[in-house]
Amino acid sequence: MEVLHNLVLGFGTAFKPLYLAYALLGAVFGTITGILPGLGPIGAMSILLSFTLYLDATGAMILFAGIYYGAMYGGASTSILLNIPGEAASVVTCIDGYQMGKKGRAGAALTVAAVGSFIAGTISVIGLTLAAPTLSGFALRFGPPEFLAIGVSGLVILVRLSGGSSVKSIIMVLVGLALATVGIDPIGGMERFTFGVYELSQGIDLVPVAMGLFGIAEVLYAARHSEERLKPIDIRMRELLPTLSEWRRSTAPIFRGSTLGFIIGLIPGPSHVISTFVSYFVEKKLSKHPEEFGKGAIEGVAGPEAANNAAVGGAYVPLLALGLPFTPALAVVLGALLLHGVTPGPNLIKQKPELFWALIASMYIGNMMLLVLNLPLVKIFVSILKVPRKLLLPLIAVVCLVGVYSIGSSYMDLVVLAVLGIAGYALRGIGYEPAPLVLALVLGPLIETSLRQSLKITRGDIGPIIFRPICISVYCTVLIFFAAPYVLRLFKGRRRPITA
Amino acid sequence: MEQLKRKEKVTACVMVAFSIIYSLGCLNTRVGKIENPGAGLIPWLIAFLLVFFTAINAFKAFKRDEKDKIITKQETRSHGYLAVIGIAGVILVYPLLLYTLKVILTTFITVFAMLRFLRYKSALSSFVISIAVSVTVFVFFALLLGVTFPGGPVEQFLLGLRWM
Repeated sequence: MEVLHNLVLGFGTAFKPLYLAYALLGAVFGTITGILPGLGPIGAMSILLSFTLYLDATGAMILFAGIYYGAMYGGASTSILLNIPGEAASVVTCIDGYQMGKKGRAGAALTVAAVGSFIAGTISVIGLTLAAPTLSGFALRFGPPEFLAIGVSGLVILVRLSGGSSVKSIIMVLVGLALATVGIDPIGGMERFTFGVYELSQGIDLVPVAMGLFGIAEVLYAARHSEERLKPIDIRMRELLPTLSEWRRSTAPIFRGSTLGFIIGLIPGPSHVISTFVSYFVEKKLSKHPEEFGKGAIEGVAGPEAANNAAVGGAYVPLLALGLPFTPALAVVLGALLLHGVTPGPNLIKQKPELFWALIASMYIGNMMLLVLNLPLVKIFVSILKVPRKLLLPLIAVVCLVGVYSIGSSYMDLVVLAVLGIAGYALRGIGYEPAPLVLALVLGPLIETSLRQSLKITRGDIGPIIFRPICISVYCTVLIFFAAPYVLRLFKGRRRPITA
Repeated sequence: MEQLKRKEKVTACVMVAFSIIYSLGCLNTRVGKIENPGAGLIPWLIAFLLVFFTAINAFKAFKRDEKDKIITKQETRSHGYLAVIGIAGVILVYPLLLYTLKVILTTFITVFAMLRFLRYKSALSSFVISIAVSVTVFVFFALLLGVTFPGGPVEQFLLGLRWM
C-alpha cells in the first residue's frame, strides 16, 4: 500500500508540465539518437550531460530516463528499415526485422517492436518499483566490505561480459582505475599524479571522459565513413498493423523477453545487449518454426526488442538502490546526479523520495509517450537519416566541446576530452572497449575507499573482509558465474558417446 | 590486415609506456601498512597489475603470426583519413584557440575547418553555416544558460545587443 501511495505522489510530480516536457524531450532525443547509427544512449547522455546542470536533479533524471528508453525504441527503426543497428542493443533485430522489411512487413515489425517495447518497459518499471526499495532497505546493512565486494565483482563480471579479449578488457579497467586515482586521495587528502598542475588536483571528471570516448570518438569514426549514403525501406501508414497471426506469435516472446531482460539488466555489463541475444536464442529454441528464424520470424523481433527495453529498468535497480552503475550509460546518470549533489544509494529513497518516485512515474509516462510517438512519426524520425553526416558531425563535436567547458570552465577538461576522444577512436576496432574504462573510473573511488576503510576496521586482517555473509555470497556468485561454462563443457564432454 | 596488426602493436607499446609512467608516478606515494593503508596502496596495486597485463598484451601482439586470426573488426576502405586527422587536430587545439581567440571565433574556426575537412558542399556554405553555428552556440550557452565564456570584442558586442 505504501508503494502505491508513493507512486501516486510520484505521478503528481511527474505530471507537472515542466517534467512532462523533459520526458517528451528525452524520449524524442533518445529516439533520434537511437536512429542515428553509432551515437547510442550513452553518446546522447554524454552530450546532454552538461545541459542537465541547468535543470534540477529530478528533471535531469527524467530527461535521461527518456533518452535511455527512447534510444532502445529508435534503434529498432534503423535495424528494420536499413539493416543497420541504430545502437548495439538492436543488432539482433537486424536479423529478422530487415528480412520482414524486405517481404513488405516492415510496418508490422516496427509496430510489434514498439508495442513490445512498451509492454516490456512497463513490466520492468513495475519490477523497479518493487525491487529498488526492497534492495535499498537491505543495503542499509552494507558496510565497506560489502561495497568493496560488489564493486570488485561488478568490474570482474564486466570484464567477462565485455566480449573480445579478456586481457584488453582488464587493461581498460585498470586504466580507468588509474585515472580515478588522479587528484586528491579520498581518505588522506594527499595529492596524487597531479605533476604540479592545479587543475589535475580536482581529479579527472567523468563528463569529459564519457563525452570523449563516446561522443568525440564516434565523430572521428563517422568522419571516415561520411561519404556513405543511407536508403531506408519505404513504409506506408496502412502497412503498420500486424496480422492477427503475427500478434498471436508475438505475445509470448514479448512477455518472456520482458522477464529475461529485467533479470539480465540487474547484472553488470552491457546487459541491454546481452538480453537481446539471450532472448533471440530462447525464442528460437522454443519456436515451433525455428527454420523461419533468420528469414523474417516475428518472434525474432518481438522477444529481443522487449528484452532490451526491460533491461533498462533492471539496470536502474543497482544504481538507485546501491548507488552502483553497472552500465556506462548509468555511469553518466550517476555523474549527473553527483553534479546536482544527489548521491544515489540505500538512503536515496529516504532522503529524496520525491526524486525517486517521480523518476519511476516518469518512466511509465515516458513509455506511453514513446509508443504514441514512434509509430505515427516513424517516417519523420527516419528522415533524420537524410541529414548529411558531414553537417551533423561538426555540430556534435562543437556541442561536446562547448558543453564540457560549460560545466567547470576548465581548459583541462577540454584537453581530457580531446585526448580521450582521439584515444577512443584509435582503440576502436582493435578490441579495446571503452565501457570498462568508464565504469572503472566511476567505481574506482568507491572501491579504494571501501578497501582502505575495511583494512582499517579489521586492522589489516583480510579474513573478516571476505568471509562476511553478504561478501562471501557475492564472491561465490561471481565464482560460479565464471566456472559454470567450463563445468558445463566438462559435463558435455563426458556425456558424448565414444564412437569407434 | 597488415595495418591492423601494426595498430595492435603500436597500441600495445603505448599501453606498456602508460603503465611504466604510471608506476613512476607512484614513487611519490606512501603505501603505508596493511592495517593503516596509505594513499599509495591502490596506485601501486594498479601499477603492478597494469605492467603485468600490458606486458602480456604486448607479448601476444608481437607474437601473432600471419596465420593467427585477429578478432578485430574488418575496417573497410574509406577516404576519410584526412578528415579524421584534421578534425582530431582541430579538437586538440580547441582549448588553446578558446584561450586566445575566445569562444565565437574559436567555434567559427572549428566548425569551418571541420566542414572543409569533410568536404561539405562549398566554402561559402561552410562559411555561412559556421557563422550561424557559432552565434547560435554563444546565444544558447551564454545568454540562455548563463555560462561564462572567455570574452572578446565579438562576445561583448553580442552581449551588448541583449541589453538594447
